[in-house]
Order: sequence, then structure tokens, then C-alpha cells
Amino acid sequence: MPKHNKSENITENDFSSQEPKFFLQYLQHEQWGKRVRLIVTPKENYIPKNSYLIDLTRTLWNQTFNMTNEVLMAILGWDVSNAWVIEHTKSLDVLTKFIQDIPIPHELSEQDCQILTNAVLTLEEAKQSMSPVACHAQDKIDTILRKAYHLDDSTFQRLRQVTQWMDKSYITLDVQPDLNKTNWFTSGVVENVVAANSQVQLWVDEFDDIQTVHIVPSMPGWMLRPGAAFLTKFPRTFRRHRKIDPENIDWAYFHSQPYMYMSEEELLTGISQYFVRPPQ
Amino acid sequence: MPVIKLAFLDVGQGDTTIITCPDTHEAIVVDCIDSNAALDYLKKEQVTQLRGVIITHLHADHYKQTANLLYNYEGCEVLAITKHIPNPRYLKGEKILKQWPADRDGHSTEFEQPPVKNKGSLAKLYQWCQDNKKKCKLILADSNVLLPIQGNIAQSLKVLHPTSFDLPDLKRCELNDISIVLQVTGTRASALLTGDLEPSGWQYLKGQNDELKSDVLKFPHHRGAWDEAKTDDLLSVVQPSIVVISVGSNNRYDHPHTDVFDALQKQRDLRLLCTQATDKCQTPVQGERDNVIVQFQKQSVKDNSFFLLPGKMQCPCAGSVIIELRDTPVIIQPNTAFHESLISVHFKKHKCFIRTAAL
Repeated sequence: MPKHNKSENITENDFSSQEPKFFLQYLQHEQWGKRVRLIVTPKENYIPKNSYLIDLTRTLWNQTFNMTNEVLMAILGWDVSNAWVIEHTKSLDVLTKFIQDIPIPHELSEQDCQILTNAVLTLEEAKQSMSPVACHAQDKIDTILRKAYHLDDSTFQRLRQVTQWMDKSYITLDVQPDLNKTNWFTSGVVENVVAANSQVQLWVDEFDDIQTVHIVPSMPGWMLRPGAAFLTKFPRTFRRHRKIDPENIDWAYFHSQPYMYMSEEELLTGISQYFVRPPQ
Repeated sequence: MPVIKLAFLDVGQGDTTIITCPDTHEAIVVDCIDSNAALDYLKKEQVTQLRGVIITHLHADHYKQTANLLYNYEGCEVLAITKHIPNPRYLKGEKILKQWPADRDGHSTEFEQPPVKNKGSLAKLYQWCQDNKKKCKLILADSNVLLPIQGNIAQSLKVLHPTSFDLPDLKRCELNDISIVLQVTGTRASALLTGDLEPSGWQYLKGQNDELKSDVLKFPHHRGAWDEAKTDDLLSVVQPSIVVISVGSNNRYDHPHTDVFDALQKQRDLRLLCTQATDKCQTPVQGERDNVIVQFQKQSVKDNSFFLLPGKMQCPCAGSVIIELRDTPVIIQPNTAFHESLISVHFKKHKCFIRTAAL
């Protein structure tokens, strides 16, 4: 079983082997709380601060894969493995069970392995400096492993951001809004119902003009009442063009806006209860 | 202190101001009446952390699209409002709105008797607060009340007004007078964001703060009682080199008032940037709208500037104003030559000027 120790307790004996060592480095960030990343190193004298040593011998992977130490280091030190570790760091005990399940690419040719080995050795010599030689070696690793893991550009960029997470505090793992999808939250009011033309006129928040749409079976019945307030989601292209495309409205997104029965005074009173002076 | 970028978005009559810290990709939004514009700008600036949204005061031309922004940007950490809504625990049974007299240009009447459309904005805000109770924070300028916003960007922000000490007296004033006033400081340069503060509220602000001198002044934007003498007083204390007025072409408040222009013109080395032109600049200003917009579109392609297509009745002048607070304030947008040319060609009756000292 893998064992883990706080770095303060790591002894020289822990480095007696020439096998790669795996560290989980923890960082207490003032806003983000704890962050963690996987560090793979063959260096006997390199112990990152605030780290846990994961004493994993390559035998965990040896049974299945025939790889050199350097290839294994390239894979385990890369973005996919790092993201895997972060995904499973809720508990260290749990993590050590998951760590041997880190996805290892199966599509590495002998030539790929040779390139990875050379690149890792080059990086080791450059001691993680940002020299052109080191950057070139890292590029080679990126190219081979991106292909081996079948990563598209956006996924790779996301994983790389996760890897850089600790050094760049602004990087967030929170889901960011995709501004191009049909997810634009907005609201409006039914301005008028023109039954003779089977049309409904809508006033929509942030639009200049009244929007006219046809009455269709999927339209909620309560929208046939002038003055009815609604919440909905549109593609942002509607907002950008300041015009609804009547053919592309999804009526399933339309909901009656709650709390419209309340007076403005009641709404303000309601809001006020959530803003109170913090305790001294 | 890090460099801070301020964007006064061209959203017509009302305010949508965005404070960003380019080094940390953080942002704070101060008031929001155009969530689409705010989101576009946050995306352009590659903001990853919206640390907070501050509503300076609850007039519709400051909060109208706040709920839309909050719902469309789920990662926002805090919504902050000052204590201008009496807490029912302390003011049980008191008429909330009636205690604030209408302001002189009458825009609180719109607030007191809103059409269903404005009420919808408030209902959405109420719903958001219900769904996000822990994110609702009170802002006061009291020394013992910490700014409820996290992150590096919060260090650049100081709340100057209102204090709980002044609030009882301010209740005799207008709702505008309890606008949250913020001082934002970049590397060294600073900006004063005044909400809709009127002269009566300004006296309280001045009385509580010795350090109001700021390089950039967001002029409190309603005509109200800002006559020439009172504007002179404001400018003499703040001593800005740049004044920004967020204004809509079609506003019905006679804003900005001629007295304000007169006072501004007396100041040397001051650059005035109005987001939109009004009939005071060209009569009718609508006649210039289409040509001006074409100019803006060309310019935005040329220098990658941030341009929002304005509403039907709106004609940009400076458009969205973006200023970096470094050792000195640096106007990123609008391009000076472009802005100057635009004014001289399209706004023959303009009351403003461009001087080189602040560039």
C-alpha cells in the first residue's frame, strides 16, 4: 500500500531508491483554501514545502505497462494526471486508492516513448528552468500526450489551467458561463394579445422594440393574458440583435415570474431582510 | 497597489461601472442597468472572479439589470447594498418609500410608482436574494464595518459614504443622498464614484472625509441641485483631472445641466468624457446618431475598442469610457483624436472641450 507522510517526517531512507517519487503538494491560499497538485521527481534532495510524500513505486503500474521511468514521469507529471489527483483529493486515504487508476494512454508508440524519455531527461537537466531547451522539451511532451489522450484544444487548455492553478490564483475551476449557448436569462411582460392575427406582443427586458410572436400550441396558456410577466432563456444572439427570432423560441423555458403579486413596498421589505449589519 | 481598470459602460441613462484588476482577473460591478453590456465587458477582460456587485442605491437606473447579471453570471460572490432600506426589525410599520422625498428631477417618482416592467426587476432581485441569502451583504462606511468583498481587488476599494452615524439625518434628504460612494485606487491614481449623490449628501460626505482628492470623478449624474456654485465646490475638493458623466441622449432629467458644464469649463487641465451626447450638444442629437455609430464601429475595428450598439434613441459621444489607474490615470478609451474629431464634426453645439494636459 502506498504510504504518505508530512514532509517534515520524511527521512533519508525514503529516498534510498532511484525510483521516481510522487508528491502531493498542498498550498493554503488566502481566498481559495487548500489547493493540491501532483509533483513527480527523481531528485533525492527535492522535497517541496507543505507536501505529502506518496511512496508509490512504479510497480503499481509495471504490472500492466512496460514503460521507462521517464515515460511514466512524463505521464504522471502531466495535466491529465494532475486533474485526476485534484478530482480525488477529498481525502488522502481515498486518493491513494485512486492514484493507481490514473488513466494511462495506451497508444504510445516506441518512438513516442523515446521522445518522452529524452524530453524528461532534458527537463531534468534544465531543472525546471524556463530555458528554450526546457520549453521545447515540454512542447514535445504536450504534443505526444495530447494526441495519446485525444484532447481537443479547449479541454487541453482547461487542464493546463488546472495544472497552473496553484501558481495563478485567479484561475478558477468554477463553471464559467458559455455566452454563446441558449442560456441567456431574461424576463419580460406580455404587452398585447392580437387574437385576430394569432399573435402575441412581448416586451422583453433590454430590447428596444416590442417583439411579435405567433401563438403556437406549445406556448403556455397563461401567456395569453396581457400584463403577464415571464422569465425565460434565450440565445444571446437574440439580445445581440435586439430581436427575437420567432422560429427559434423554446417555449419550455417560459415561466411565470414569481412575486409579481407583491407590491414594491413588500418587495423592498423582503429584500431588506437579507441585508443586515454584520456582527461586530 | 495593482493597476486598476475602470470602465464606465455606454448604457444610456444610468450607470454600469466595472472595476477590474487585470493582474488577478477579478472584477467588481458597481450598478447595472445593462447586463448584456456588463457580461460582454467581463468576457472581454477575461474576468474569472466577479467578486461582487454593488448597488449604490435602489433607483431603477442603477439596479434595473442587476438580477439579470447575477443570474447570467452564476459565479458572483457578493451582492452589496447599503442600509437604505430600513430593516423591518428597527422600523416596523414605517412606510419604506414614503420616508424618502422625491428628488428634484423627479426620477424617484419612477421608482415609487414603477410600471410592471420596473417592478419585474425588483421581483427578480428579490428572488435572487432569496436563492442566495449568504451572498447578500450590507455596506456601510463605518470604520468598524469591513468591506464584505474578498480578493486582491477589494484592497483597492474604500467605502466613504454613507455612515450609520449620518443615516438618521440623511433620511431627511433624498434617496440619492445615501448613494454608496467609493474611492478606487490603482497604483497611485484614484477615482471617486459618487452614485447619484446630491449636494446635501455631498456635505455629509465632505464632513466625514478629509481625503476626497481623486484623479477621476464619476459625476453624480442627475441635475438635481448641482448648480454652478455647488459643482465648483465639488470640483475644488476632488480636484479631478478627468470627469466622467454617464448619461443617456434621451434622458428626461435635463442632464447634464448647463450649470455643470459651466463649472467644468472653468477648471484647467480637466478632461470631460460623457458616454452619450444630448440635445445640448446637437439639436436634435438623433440626427447624428447613425453617422456617429458608423464612426464608432470603424474605430472599434481599428483599435479593438469596446463598443456597444446603443439603443434606438441613443447617440454615443465618448461611448464606453475605460481608464487605467496607474501612477496617473490613463485613458484607454476613447481614443483622443477620434473623440475630438467626433465632437467637432457631429456636435456643433457641444459644451465640452478636450485639453491635452490630462492625456
